Amino acid sequence: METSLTDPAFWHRIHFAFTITYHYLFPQLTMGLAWFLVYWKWRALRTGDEKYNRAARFWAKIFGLNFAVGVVTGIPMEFQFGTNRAAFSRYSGAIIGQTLAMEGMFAFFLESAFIGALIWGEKRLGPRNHFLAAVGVATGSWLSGFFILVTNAFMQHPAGYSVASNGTLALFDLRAYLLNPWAFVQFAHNQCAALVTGSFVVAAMGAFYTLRGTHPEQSRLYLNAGTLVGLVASLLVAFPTGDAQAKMVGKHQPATLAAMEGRFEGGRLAEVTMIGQPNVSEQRLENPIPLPGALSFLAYGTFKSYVKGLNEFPKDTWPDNIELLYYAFHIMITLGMIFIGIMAWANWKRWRGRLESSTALLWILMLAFPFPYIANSLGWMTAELGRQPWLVYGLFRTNQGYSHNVAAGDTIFTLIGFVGLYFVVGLLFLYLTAREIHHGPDAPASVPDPREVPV
Amino acid sequence: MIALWYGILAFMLTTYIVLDGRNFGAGILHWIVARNQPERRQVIAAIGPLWSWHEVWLVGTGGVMVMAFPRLMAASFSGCYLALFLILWCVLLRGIFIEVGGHLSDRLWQEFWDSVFVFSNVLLAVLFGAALGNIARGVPLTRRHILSAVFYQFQYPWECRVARLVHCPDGAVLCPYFDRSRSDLPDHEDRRSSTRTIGQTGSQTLVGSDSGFSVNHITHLVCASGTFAGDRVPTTCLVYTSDLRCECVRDRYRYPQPARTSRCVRVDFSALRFVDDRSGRAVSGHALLDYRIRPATNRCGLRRARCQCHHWHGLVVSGADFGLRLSLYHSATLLGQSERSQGQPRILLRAGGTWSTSLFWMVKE
Repeated sequence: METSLTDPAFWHRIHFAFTITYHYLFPQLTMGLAWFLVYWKWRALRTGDEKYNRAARFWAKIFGLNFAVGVVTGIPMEFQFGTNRAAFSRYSGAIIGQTLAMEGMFAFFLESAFIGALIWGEKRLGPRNHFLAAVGVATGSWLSGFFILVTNAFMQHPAGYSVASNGTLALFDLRAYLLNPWAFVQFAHNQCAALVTGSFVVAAMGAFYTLRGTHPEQSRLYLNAGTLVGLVASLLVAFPTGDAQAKMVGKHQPATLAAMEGRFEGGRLAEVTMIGQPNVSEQRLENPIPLPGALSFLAYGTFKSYVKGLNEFPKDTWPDNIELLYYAFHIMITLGMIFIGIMAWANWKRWRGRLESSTALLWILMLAFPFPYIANSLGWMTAELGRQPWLVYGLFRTNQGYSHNVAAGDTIFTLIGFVGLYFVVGLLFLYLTAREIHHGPDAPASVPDPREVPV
Repeated sequence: MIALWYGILAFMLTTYIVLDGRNFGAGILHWIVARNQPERRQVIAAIGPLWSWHEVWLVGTGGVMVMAFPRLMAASFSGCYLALFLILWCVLLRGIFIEVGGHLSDRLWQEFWDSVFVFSNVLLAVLFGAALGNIARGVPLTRRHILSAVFYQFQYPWECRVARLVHCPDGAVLCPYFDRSRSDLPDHEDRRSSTRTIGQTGSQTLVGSDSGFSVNHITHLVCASGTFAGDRVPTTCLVYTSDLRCECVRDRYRYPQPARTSRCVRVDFSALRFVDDRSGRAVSGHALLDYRIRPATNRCGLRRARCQCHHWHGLVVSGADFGLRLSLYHSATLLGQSERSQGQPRILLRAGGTWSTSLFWMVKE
């Protein structure tokens, strides 16, 4: 499907894609980091060791920065359903609104109420309640993620709906909607990926301080926790969650699976392409290095399973940017494998007690932290591009869903505005985070300075 | 059920406005009530920890609105596109301020962010006020049920269909209606002749909720005898979902006619053509309305449109009024913050001064 620069649908899509991709850089870290905070608060509660409290205090500051940027960039997301996706809201608002409202009312409330307590309430709350505040923040952020993923799962694999007399969707079965199998698989996969981001960032911080030779006690703590959780999460992202996700796609979105692997012809013993460049106009993969049978096995459980090719689907149901989808998926998989490798290596060194003296590995750990962000974003691109050309899979097309009354010029204008604002937000965020890192975890326990603005 | 959701939505929006009003107030007033940096920090510290918790109510309101009133959300948000994004950007700037303003003790840094904070809060208060003013006064609807409130369009032709946020027993929230204050609209004639006309409402019709639409207070509704041959549809009840339409031209007004399938009638108001008496131009662009038959016992008690009053004046007044009202909340907040600060009496004094000034101003209004 051609997308033209004069097509308002294209600009609405870019608008949403840009804002959501930027927004999701922040929640993925907070969702991953939240359980590290819980863990350290719990250790501090059990052992009474001040070093765990220091770790929690330091990371709570980083968490707070991410959380705040996540909030300010997240508010426009919800409003874009009305501003840029009016037709979609009208069509399916009665359903997706359920979880969006739940997200706002339960999860986000929980999170926001506890985040203040977590960051400034340590003295007033006492260790036990402060630990509970950390649990509240973590639960809230994961619950929030769950509701959003249920919403997305409905768009990927509609469940529990009925079509009302006026052609819009109505909620038929709340349970079926909330317990959408797609949501659980995607939630597990996504949360593990968030943990990968969290643990890579924690490990990178540990590596950074170790290489610098500062904060030895804290950096050991970060390296240990980061590499251990990192290995477990990297493995879980691939199996069983990533595997289940692929099977789910194979079952419910076969055209997407074909496009993800750049398969134009169907067949048994379908291969996974390790390297190859899709050429959509010629309908073939160039320079492929295939792994025969792997795709059949991964998607349907046996090597002999038949995997459909794109040619078996009408062309107007093909994902509309197959190249991007293909590369997003393949780079994500490759990065996932590399993560497992790095973390396995780091854990082996740690087990041998040599992690802190292997400089090369520490450099790799320190520089690796942006890649989980890339992998997460590409994973979401795979999910969302794979869903095309549907906005609600099989029911409602993407180019029906935008606000037809909003001129393309208005969308471009607000897109430019968001790019500019988010650039400034990004600079400020990096600057402030760098400042926190520079101060380090062993800075004197911060007494809330009345002159200092909290948050 | 719809009434319950309406109540929840109203509650959440009100809570948001009350809670975040504190932040607006602090933002607008902290240049006035606090004269130096430490004092300003104190004012900001009063709102810092709870800011995101207040913002949650806005997010929750959005969520509830998508769920319970998707059509309202679709109509209003995309219709007020630019104004809404201005609001969002201000919210964003304000959030950034609270985040970064106090992180450096550099004077220029703080003064810069203070001014950003004041600017975005004033703009927010005025924009919310303008939105409120617009909704209270009525906003034109396009054919697709979209509010067409380009945000500097403050004046509409008198025939224009306008929408208001109202509550009615069966839960519709958007209320488009005609202003029939001009006596030259031939509703009396129509009632008498009753041959060709349908769906010209006396003053109000309602659209909005998914549970259906009701036509409210259709005292002038006349059914075209041809179309409704054999069926006696009470003139006060009408609903519609079907797809047929036709129109006829009568005098200089063209009225749509309904077609009827089972119990549903659709009226295509897009065929309506009114001539603006002053300019002589034809005015069009009325919405396609769907009506459901329902005894018209419920009267919402809506006031008639006053399309031509409250232009700039109304908006500015409501915007500024809104901001100042919010500042009151903040004054009250400052009272509760006495434990922390050194310069408390002075801040309190100034906050009290602003409070009474705004009170006086409002009473005067």
